[in-house]
Amino acid sequence: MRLSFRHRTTGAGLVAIGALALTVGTPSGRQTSLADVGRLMVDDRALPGIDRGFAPNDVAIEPVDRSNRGAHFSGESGAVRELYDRGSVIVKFRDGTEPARAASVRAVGGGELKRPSWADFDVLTIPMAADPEAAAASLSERPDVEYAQARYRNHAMFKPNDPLYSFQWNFPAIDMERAWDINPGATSNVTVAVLDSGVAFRDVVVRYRAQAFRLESGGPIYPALGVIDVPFAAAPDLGSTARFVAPHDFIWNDDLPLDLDGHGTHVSGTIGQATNNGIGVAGMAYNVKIMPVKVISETWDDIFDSPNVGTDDVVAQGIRYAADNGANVINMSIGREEGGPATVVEAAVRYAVSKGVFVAIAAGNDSTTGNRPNRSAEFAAGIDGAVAVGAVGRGLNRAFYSTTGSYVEIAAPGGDSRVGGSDGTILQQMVDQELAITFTLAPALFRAPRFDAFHFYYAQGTSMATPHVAGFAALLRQQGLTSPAAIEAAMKQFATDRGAAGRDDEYGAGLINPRATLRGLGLAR
Amino acid sequence: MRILSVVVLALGLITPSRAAAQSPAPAPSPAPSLALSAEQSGSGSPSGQLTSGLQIRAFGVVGTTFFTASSTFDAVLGSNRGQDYGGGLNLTRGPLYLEAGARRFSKHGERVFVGVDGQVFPLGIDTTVTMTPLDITAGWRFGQHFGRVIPHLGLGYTRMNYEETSDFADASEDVSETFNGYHVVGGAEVRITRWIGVTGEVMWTSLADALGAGGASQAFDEANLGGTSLRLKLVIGH
Repeated sequence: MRLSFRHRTTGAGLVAIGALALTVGTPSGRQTSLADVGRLMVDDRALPGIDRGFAPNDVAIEPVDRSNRGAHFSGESGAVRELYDRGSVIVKFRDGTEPARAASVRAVGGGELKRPSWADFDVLTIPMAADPEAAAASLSERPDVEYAQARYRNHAMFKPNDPLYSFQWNFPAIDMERAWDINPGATSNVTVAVLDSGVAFRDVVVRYRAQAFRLESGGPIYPALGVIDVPFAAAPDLGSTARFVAPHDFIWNDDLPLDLDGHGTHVSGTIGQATNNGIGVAGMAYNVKIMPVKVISETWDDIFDSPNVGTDDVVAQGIRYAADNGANVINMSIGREEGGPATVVEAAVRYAVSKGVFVAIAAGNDSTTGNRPNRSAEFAAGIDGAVAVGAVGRGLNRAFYSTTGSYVEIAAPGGDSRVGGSDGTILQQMVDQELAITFTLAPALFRAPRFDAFHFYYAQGTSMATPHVAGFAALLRQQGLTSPAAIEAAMKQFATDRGAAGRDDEYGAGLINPRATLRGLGLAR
Repeated sequence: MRILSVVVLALGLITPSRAAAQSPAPAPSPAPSLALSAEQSGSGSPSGQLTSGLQIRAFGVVGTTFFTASSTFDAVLGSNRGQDYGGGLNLTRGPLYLEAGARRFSKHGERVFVGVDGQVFPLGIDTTVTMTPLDITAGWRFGQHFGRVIPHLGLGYTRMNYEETSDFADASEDVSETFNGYHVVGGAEVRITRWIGVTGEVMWTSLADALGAGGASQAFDEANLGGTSLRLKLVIGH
C-alpha cells in the first residue's frame, strides 16, 4: 500500500520537529554544513546493488495521484511469415552427373543454375508460383541429386533470455520481438532523458538529515531520525553505469539524481533495461544512453527537506536542461491534474522539440476519478514532436484508469490489474520497497531507508505506457527518423487502430506498432 | 511462347489481306518499290527500303526509363530513372511490323518513411524492386522516304510483372503482381549492314493504378507504374 503525500505548500505537509546541524570536512579543508546544502555525499563508492529477485504474487502498485510531485506510480495481421524464399531452391548434384542435370532442372520447371563462389551447391531458380519445398523434395528423389532444400529464411532469433521476460506480456503485445529483429535496441548514439523521481544509476552513500514529520494533518508523528547515511546502488539490471549521461537533480540542485522512490527507475527499465543479459527483464531500447533528470520529489525528499519540489518551473527547467545536453528523446511519466494549464511546461516542450527532441508525456490516470487531463500533457496534441500517451492493458483495451480526451494521441501498454490481475501490469526492477519506503510502517517501526536493494515490481499507469513510446522513439531515431515531427507522424501512421475507427479519445491514433513503423514504406507497399 | 504464336498468327492474318489488296496492282512502276524483297534490295548493302515478304528479326534492347512516379522511385530507389535490358522478336511485312519483347529492370533501394511535408527518411532496410514488362507492339514503318533510316510508330499492350521484396518481410508484405497497360513508341532504325540495324526510340508506357494503394507511392499520391523510356536496339535480320 502506498500513501499519497501532499504537496508541502498545499497544507498537509511535513511538520518539522527539530533540526540537527552537522558539519563535515571537505578535501579542501572547507567545512561544509549539512544544513547549508541539505545533503552530502559521504562516499562516492558503495556496495553494488542487491537484486532481491521477484515474487510473482506481488500485487501491482496502483495508480496514485501525486501530481507533479507524484509520478503517478500509477503504480496499468497478417499472414504467417513464409519460411522460405520463393523462386529458387538449393540443390547439390552428385559429382559426374552433369548429363542428367538438365532433366532434373526441367522436372521442376527450373531455370538458371547459379553457384555461389564459396559454395559446392547451386541455387536453382524455379517459378515464383512453385512450392519450393515440393520442388526440393522432387529433386531430392532424383539419382543425380545429393540433396536439395528450399531456401529457408533465417532471422535474428531474438527473444530476450532475461529470465523474467516471460512475465512481460507488454513486449510481445506490440510485436517487439520482430521489431528487435529490425532494430535491436537502438545504439548508444541515442540518449533518452528520464524526467522523473531520479534513477538508481550509481553506487553512493549520501548523508541526510531526517526531520520528524506527519504524513497527513492530524496523523501520527514520525520521529526524527537525525543525521543518517543512506546507501544507494545502481539497479543491477539497468546495466553499466557508463550508460548514464549528464545526470542532474533539480530537486537537490546537484548531479546526483538519485531515486528515493522507485518510479523513475521502473520507467527507465521499460525504456532501456539491459536486455538479453540473462538477468531480470527486458527493455524497449536497451542500448541507448539514459540521462537521469530528477524533477519531481517524493516522500523521502520531503522528509529530508529537499530545497525544491516538482513544480512546473522545475519540470520546465529539467526539460530545457535535457534538450541542451544532448537528449534525443524525453520521457515524462509525470504531470498534474490540479490547477490551470502548465504554460511553462508547454513552452519548455516546444523548446525541446525545436531542438530536435521528441517528447513522450503520460496522458494521466484520472479516468475513474474525474477524468481531468494531465495539465503537463494536454498541450502535446498541438505540438508535432510531442505526444500524450494513453495506456492499454493486456487485452489491448484502454486501461481502466487511463484518462481520455481529445489530447490523447497514442496508446501503449501500461497494464490493467482489472484484466489479469498483477500479471496484467508492467514488470520492471526498482528499489526494494520494503527497505526503502519505511514511512508506510507504524511510527514505532519507522527506520532509515536504504536504496541499494532491488526487486522486480508490477506497476500500472500511463507512467508505464509512456516509456514504451519513448523507447520506441529512440528506435525510430536510430533507424533514421531524425525529426520529432516525423517520429510522431510515423508512430501515428502505423499505429494499430483500437476502439472507434480512426482517431478517438481513448487510444488516439491507436496502439503503437513498432515493427511496422520500423519497416517503413516500400515503393508499392 | 503462346504470345509469340499469337503474334505470328496475327501477322499471318495481316499478310494475305495486304497481298490480296496489292494483287490487282498494275505492273511495277519504275519508282522504288515499297515492297522489295531482300534479294531485290541488293546484295548485302544496307537499305531503308522495305521488303514485302515476312521477315523475322531478333533484337536486343537497352533503355533508360524515366518513371512517371518520380517522387516514389526517387525516395525508395534513390533515382527516378533506371536502366532496363531485354530483347525480343520483330516481325515485318512491308510497312507493318509486329513486335514482342521483354525487358527487365531491377534495382536495390531502401525502405523509407515519408513525412507529412514529403520529407523522406531512409530507414536502412534493403528493398529490391524488379519489373519485367512484356511489350507487344504493332506499328508502321516509313521506309520509303529516308534512305537507310526507317522511322516507325507503334502502339501496344504492356503486361508488367512487378516484384518488390525487402528484408524483414513476411510473405504477405512482399509484392508480386502483374499489371496491364499500354504504350506508344516511336523511333527510327538505321540499317548498318544487310543483317544489322540499330534503332533508337522513345517509348511511353502507362500502367495506371498499379501503384498508389500503399507504400511511398501512396504517400506521394502517385499511381502510375509506367514511364518514358529512351531505348537503343540492336536488330539482327533484314
